[in-house]
Amino acid sequence: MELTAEDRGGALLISVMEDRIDAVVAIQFRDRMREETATAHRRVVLDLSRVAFVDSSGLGAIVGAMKQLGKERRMDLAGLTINVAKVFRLTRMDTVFTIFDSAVAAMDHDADAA
Amino acid sequence: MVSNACAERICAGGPGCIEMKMRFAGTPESVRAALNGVRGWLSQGDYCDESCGDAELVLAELLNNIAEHAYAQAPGGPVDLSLARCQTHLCLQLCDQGLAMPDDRIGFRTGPAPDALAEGGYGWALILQLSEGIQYCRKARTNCMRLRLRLRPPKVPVRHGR
Repeated sequence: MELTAEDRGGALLISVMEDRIDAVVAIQFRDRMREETATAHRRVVLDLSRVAFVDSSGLGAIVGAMKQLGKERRMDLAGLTINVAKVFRLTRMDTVFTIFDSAVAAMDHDADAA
Repeated sequence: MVSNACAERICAGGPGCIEMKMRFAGTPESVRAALNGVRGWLSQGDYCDESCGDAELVLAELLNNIAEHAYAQAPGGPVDLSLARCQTHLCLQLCDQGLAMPDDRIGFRTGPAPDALAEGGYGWALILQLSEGIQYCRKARTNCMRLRLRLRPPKVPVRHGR
Protein backbone atom coordinates (compact mmCIF):
# COMPACT_ATOMS: atom_id res chain seq x y z
CA MET A 1 0.00 0.00 0.00
CA GLU A 2 1.81 3.07 -1.24
CA LEU A 3 1.07 6.41 0.40
CA THR A 4 3.03 9.63 0.11
CA ALA A 5 2.96 12.36 2.76
CA GLU A 6 3.91 16.01 2.33
CA ASP A 7 3.97 18.88 4.78
CA ARG A 8 1.91 21.64 3.17
CA GLY A 9 2.01 24.72 5.35
CA GLY A 10 0.50 23.34 8.51
CA ALA A 11 -1.55 20.58 6.94
CA LEU A 12 -0.34 17.09 6.14
CA LEU A 13 -1.28 16.02 2.61
CA ILE A 14 -1.41 12.26 2.20
CA SER A 15 -1.86 10.89 -1.31
CA VAL A 16 -2.95 7.33 -1.94
CA MET A 17 -0.85 6.04 -4.84
CA GLU A 18 -2.97 2.94 -5.52
CA ASP A 19 -6.14 2.58 -7.56
CA ARG A 20 -8.07 0.51 -4.99
CA ILE A 21 -8.78 0.57 -1.28
CA ASP A 22 -10.55 -2.77 -0.89
CA ALA A 23 -10.74 -5.80 1.40
CA VAL A 24 -7.24 -6.89 0.34
CA VAL A 25 -5.53 -3.73 1.59
CA ALA A 26 -7.97 -2.23 4.13
CA ILE A 27 -5.99 -3.17 7.25
CA GLN A 28 -2.70 -2.29 5.59
CA PHE A 29 -4.11 1.10 4.59
CA ARG A 30 -5.14 1.92 8.17
CA ASP A 31 -1.73 0.85 9.51
CA ARG A 32 0.13 2.91 6.91
CA MET A 33 -2.09 5.90 7.74
CA ARG A 34 -1.17 5.51 11.41
CA GLU A 35 2.54 5.64 10.48
CA GLU A 36 2.20 8.60 8.13
CA THR A 37 0.04 10.65 10.49
CA ALA A 38 2.41 10.25 13.46
CA THR A 39 3.21 13.97 13.13
CA ALA A 40 2.13 17.13 14.95
CA HIS A 41 -0.21 18.27 12.15
CA ARG A 42 -3.70 19.12 13.37
CA ARG A 43 -5.15 18.77 9.89
CA VAL A 44 -4.71 15.84 7.53
CA VAL A 45 -5.95 15.93 3.92
CA LEU A 46 -6.33 12.57 2.20
CA ASP A 47 -6.00 12.86 -1.58
CA LEU A 48 -8.02 10.06 -3.21
CA SER A 49 -7.77 11.30 -6.81
CA ARG A 50 -5.85 8.18 -7.96
CA VAL A 51 -8.32 5.80 -6.31
CA ALA A 52 -10.95 4.44 -8.69
CA PHE A 53 -12.51 1.89 -6.34
CA VAL A 54 -13.40 1.80 -2.64
CA ASP A 55 -15.61 -0.95 -1.17
CA SER A 56 -17.20 -1.05 2.31
CA SER A 57 -13.96 -2.45 3.79
CA GLY A 58 -12.04 0.46 2.29
CA LEU A 59 -14.64 2.92 3.54
CA GLY A 60 -14.36 1.42 7.03
CA ALA A 61 -10.58 1.77 6.86
CA ILE A 62 -10.84 5.44 5.89
CA VAL A 63 -13.21 6.02 8.83
CA GLY A 64 -10.79 4.11 11.06
CA ALA A 65 -7.88 6.27 9.85
CA MET A 66 -9.86 9.37 10.76
CA LYS A 67 -10.81 8.02 14.20
CA GLN A 68 -7.26 7.06 15.10
CA LEU A 69 -6.26 10.74 14.76
CA GLY A 70 -8.21 11.50 17.93
CA LYS A 71 -10.61 14.35 18.64
CA GLU A 72 -8.03 17.16 18.49
CA ARG A 73 -7.14 16.52 14.85
CA ARG A 74 -9.24 16.41 11.69
CA MET A 75 -9.11 14.58 8.41
CA ASP A 76 -10.56 16.03 5.19
CA LEU A 77 -10.89 14.24 1.85
CA ALA A 78 -9.98 15.49 -1.62
CA GLY A 79 -10.32 14.41 -5.24
CA LEU A 80 -12.96 11.69 -4.99
CA THR A 81 -13.51 9.93 -8.33
CA ILE A 82 -17.09 9.21 -9.49
CA ASN A 83 -17.51 5.74 -8.03
CA VAL A 84 -15.72 6.58 -4.79
CA ALA A 85 -17.89 9.67 -4.28
CA LYS A 86 -20.93 7.45 -4.80
CA VAL A 87 -19.91 5.11 -1.97
CA PHE A 88 -19.67 8.09 0.38
CA ARG A 89 -23.05 9.43 -0.83
CA LEU A 90 -24.94 6.13 -0.58
CA THR A 91 -23.67 5.50 2.96
CA ARG A 92 -24.21 9.20 3.85
CA MET A 93 -20.58 9.36 5.01
CA ASP A 94 -20.31 12.48 2.84
CA THR A 95 -22.07 14.23 5.77
CA VAL A 96 -19.27 13.26 8.17
CA PHE A 97 -16.23 14.30 6.12
CA THR A 98 -15.47 17.64 4.52
CA ILE A 99 -14.82 16.75 0.87
CA PHE A 100 -12.92 18.99 -1.57
CA ASP A 101 -12.82 18.67 -5.36
CA SER A 102 -9.02 18.47 -5.35
CA ALA A 103 -5.98 18.60 -3.07
CA VAL A 104 -5.33 22.13 -4.35
CA ALA A 105 -8.84 23.22 -3.29
CA ALA A 106 -8.32 21.61 0.12
CA MET A 107 -5.03 23.49 0.61
CA ASP A 108 -6.60 26.79 -0.47
CA HIS A 109 -9.27 26.27 2.13
CA ASP A 110 -6.57 25.77 4.77
CA ALA A 111 -4.94 29.05 3.76
CA ASP A 112 -8.30 30.81 4.10
CA ALA A 113 -8.87 29.39 7.55
CA ALA A 114 -5.42 30.41 8.82
CA MET B 1 -37.77 -6.63 -1.46
CA VAL B 2 -35.98 -9.91 -0.93
CA SER B 3 -37.44 -13.16 -2.17
CA ASN B 4 -36.49 -16.58 -0.86
CA ALA B 5 -37.72 -18.36 -3.94
CA CYS B 6 -35.17 -20.17 -6.07
CA ALA B 7 -35.56 -19.11 -9.68
CA GLU B 8 -34.70 -21.57 -12.42
CA ARG B 9 -32.70 -19.18 -14.55
CA ILE B 10 -30.54 -16.20 -13.71
CA CYS B 11 -32.24 -14.07 -16.35
CA ALA B 12 -34.88 -14.27 -19.04
CA GLY B 13 -32.12 -14.50 -21.66
CA GLY B 14 -33.46 -12.00 -24.17
CA PRO B 15 -31.90 -11.22 -27.56
CA GLY B 16 -28.29 -10.14 -27.38
CA CYS B 17 -27.83 -11.62 -23.91
CA ILE B 18 -24.17 -12.54 -23.30
CA GLU B 19 -23.24 -14.96 -20.54
CA MET B 20 -20.07 -15.74 -18.61
CA LYS B 21 -19.23 -18.18 -15.82
CA MET B 22 -16.28 -18.13 -13.42
CA ARG B 23 -15.14 -20.32 -10.51
CA PHE B 24 -12.59 -19.05 -8.01
CA ALA B 25 -11.53 -19.30 -4.36
CA GLY B 26 -13.35 -17.17 -1.77
CA THR B 27 -10.30 -15.18 -0.68
CA PRO B 28 -9.83 -11.39 -0.90
CA GLU B 29 -7.05 -11.81 -3.50
CA SER B 30 -9.11 -14.11 -5.74
CA VAL B 31 -12.10 -11.81 -5.34
CA ARG B 32 -10.02 -8.89 -6.56
CA ALA B 33 -8.84 -10.86 -9.61
CA ALA B 34 -12.41 -11.96 -10.38
CA LEU B 35 -13.67 -8.37 -10.16
CA ASN B 36 -10.96 -7.35 -12.56
CA GLY B 37 -12.13 -10.05 -14.98
CA VAL B 38 -15.77 -8.96 -14.71
CA ARG B 39 -14.79 -5.34 -15.27
CA GLY B 40 -12.96 -6.34 -18.47
CA TRP B 41 -15.95 -8.37 -19.64
CA LEU B 42 -18.33 -5.46 -18.97
CA SER B 43 -16.04 -3.07 -20.85
CA GLN B 44 -16.74 -5.09 -24.02
CA GLY B 45 -20.34 -3.89 -23.79
CA ASP B 46 -21.64 -0.42 -24.44
CA TYR B 47 -22.16 0.80 -20.86
CA CYS B 48 -21.24 3.95 -18.96
CA ASP B 49 -18.37 3.84 -16.47
CA GLU B 50 -20.67 4.62 -13.56
CA SER B 51 -22.87 1.58 -14.29
CA CYS B 52 -19.81 -0.66 -14.51
CA GLY B 53 -18.55 0.82 -11.23
CA ASP B 54 -21.90 0.09 -9.56
CA ALA B 55 -21.78 -3.50 -10.78
CA GLU B 56 -18.21 -3.93 -9.51
CA LEU B 57 -19.15 -2.51 -6.11
CA VAL B 58 -22.22 -4.74 -5.64
CA LEU B 59 -20.29 -7.81 -6.71
CA ALA B 60 -17.38 -6.86 -4.44
CA GLU B 61 -19.69 -6.55 -1.43
CA LEU B 62 -21.38 -9.90 -2.13
CA LEU B 63 -18.03 -11.63 -2.64
CA ASN B 64 -16.48 -10.04 0.46
CA ASN B 65 -19.45 -11.35 2.46
CA ILE B 66 -18.82 -14.86 1.14
CA ALA B 67 -15.07 -14.68 1.87
CA GLU B 68 -15.50 -13.20 5.34
CA HIS B 69 -18.70 -14.81 6.61
CA ALA B 70 -19.79 -17.85 4.57
CA TYR B 71 -16.21 -19.20 4.49
CA ALA B 72 -15.23 -17.90 7.95
CA GLN B 73 -14.49 -21.48 9.03
CA ALA B 74 -13.25 -22.79 5.68
CA PRO B 75 -11.17 -20.03 4.09
CA GLY B 76 -10.87 -20.10 0.33
CA GLY B 77 -13.85 -22.34 -0.44
CA PRO B 78 -15.14 -22.29 -4.03
CA VAL B 79 -17.34 -19.52 -5.43
CA ASP B 80 -19.35 -19.99 -8.63
CA LEU B 81 -20.30 -16.81 -10.42
CA SER B 82 -22.67 -16.73 -13.39
CA LEU B 83 -23.27 -13.48 -15.23
CA ALA B 84 -25.54 -12.43 -18.06
CA ARG B 85 -25.60 -8.98 -19.59
CA CYS B 86 -27.89 -7.44 -22.13
CA GLN B 87 -28.32 -3.86 -23.30
CA THR B 88 -30.05 -2.74 -20.10
CA HIS B 89 -29.26 -5.18 -17.31
CA LEU B 90 -26.66 -7.35 -15.66
CA CYS B 91 -28.07 -10.48 -14.00
CA LEU B 92 -25.85 -12.44 -11.68
CA GLN B 93 -25.84 -15.54 -9.58
CA LEU B 94 -23.34 -16.36 -6.86
CA CYS B 95 -23.14 -19.76 -5.20
CA ASP B 96 -20.93 -20.94 -2.35
CA GLN B 97 -20.71 -23.98 -0.08
CA GLY B 98 -20.18 -22.00 3.10
CA LEU B 99 -22.30 -21.28 6.16
CA ALA B 100 -25.94 -20.28 5.63
CA MET B 101 -26.69 -16.60 5.77
CA PRO B 102 -28.44 -15.63 9.01
CA ASP B 103 -32.06 -14.51 8.46
CA ASP B 104 -31.47 -11.02 9.74
CA ARG B 105 -28.54 -10.37 7.46
CA ILE B 106 -30.45 -9.21 4.44
CA GLY B 107 -33.21 -6.81 3.62
CA PHE B 108 -32.35 -3.62 5.44
CA ARG B 109 -31.60 -0.69 3.25
CA THR B 110 -29.91 1.67 5.66
CA GLY B 111 -26.44 1.01 6.96
CA PRO B 112 -25.00 2.38 10.21
CA ALA B 113 -25.83 6.00 11.10
CA PRO B 114 -23.04 8.21 9.71
CA ASP B 115 -22.42 9.78 13.14
CA ALA B 116 -21.68 6.35 14.60
CA LEU B 117 -18.42 6.37 12.59
CA ALA B 118 -18.73 2.62 12.13
CA GLU B 119 -15.78 0.87 10.52
CA GLY B 120 -17.96 -1.74 8.82
CA GLY B 121 -21.53 -2.81 8.15
CA TYR B 122 -22.06 -0.73 5.01
CA GLY B 123 -22.07 -3.63 2.57
CA TRP B 124 -25.75 -4.53 2.46
CA ALA B 125 -26.86 -0.91 2.32
CA LEU B 126 -24.75 -0.49 -0.83
CA ILE B 127 -25.97 -3.74 -2.39
CA LEU B 128 -29.63 -2.96 -1.78
CA GLN B 129 -29.45 0.59 -3.05
CA LEU B 130 -27.75 -0.39 -6.30
CA SER B 131 -29.54 -3.60 -7.26
CA GLU B 132 -33.00 -5.09 -7.66
CA GLY B 133 -34.82 -8.42 -7.54
CA ILE B 134 -32.60 -9.98 -4.90
CA GLN B 135 -33.23 -13.66 -4.21
CA TYR B 136 -31.45 -15.88 -1.72
CA CYS B 137 -31.91 -19.59 -1.33
CA ARG B 138 -30.08 -22.41 0.39
CA LYS B 139 -30.28 -25.90 -1.06
CA ALA B 140 -28.07 -28.93 -0.49
CA ARG B 141 -25.57 -26.98 1.64
CA THR B 142 -25.21 -24.39 -1.08
CA ASN B 143 -25.99 -20.69 -0.79
CA CYS B 144 -27.26 -19.05 -3.96
CA MET B 145 -27.78 -15.35 -4.37
CA ARG B 146 -29.31 -13.83 -7.47
CA LEU B 147 -29.83 -10.22 -8.34
CA ARG B 148 -30.04 -7.76 -11.18
CA LEU B 149 -28.48 -4.37 -11.85
CA ARG B 150 -29.42 -1.72 -14.35
CA LEU B 151 -26.76 -0.91 -16.98
CA ARG B 152 -26.91 2.44 -18.72
CA PRO B 153 -25.30 3.43 -22.05
CA PRO B 154 -22.37 5.85 -22.15
CA LYS B 155 -23.37 9.49 -21.95
CA VAL B 156 -23.80 10.89 -25.44
CA PRO B 157 -22.15 14.27 -25.97
CA VAL B 158 -24.72 17.06 -26.43
CA ARG B 159 -24.92 18.16 -30.05
CA HIS B 160 -25.32 21.81 -30.74
CA GLY B 161 -27.04 23.10 -33.89
CA ARG B 162 -27.71 20.85 -36.84
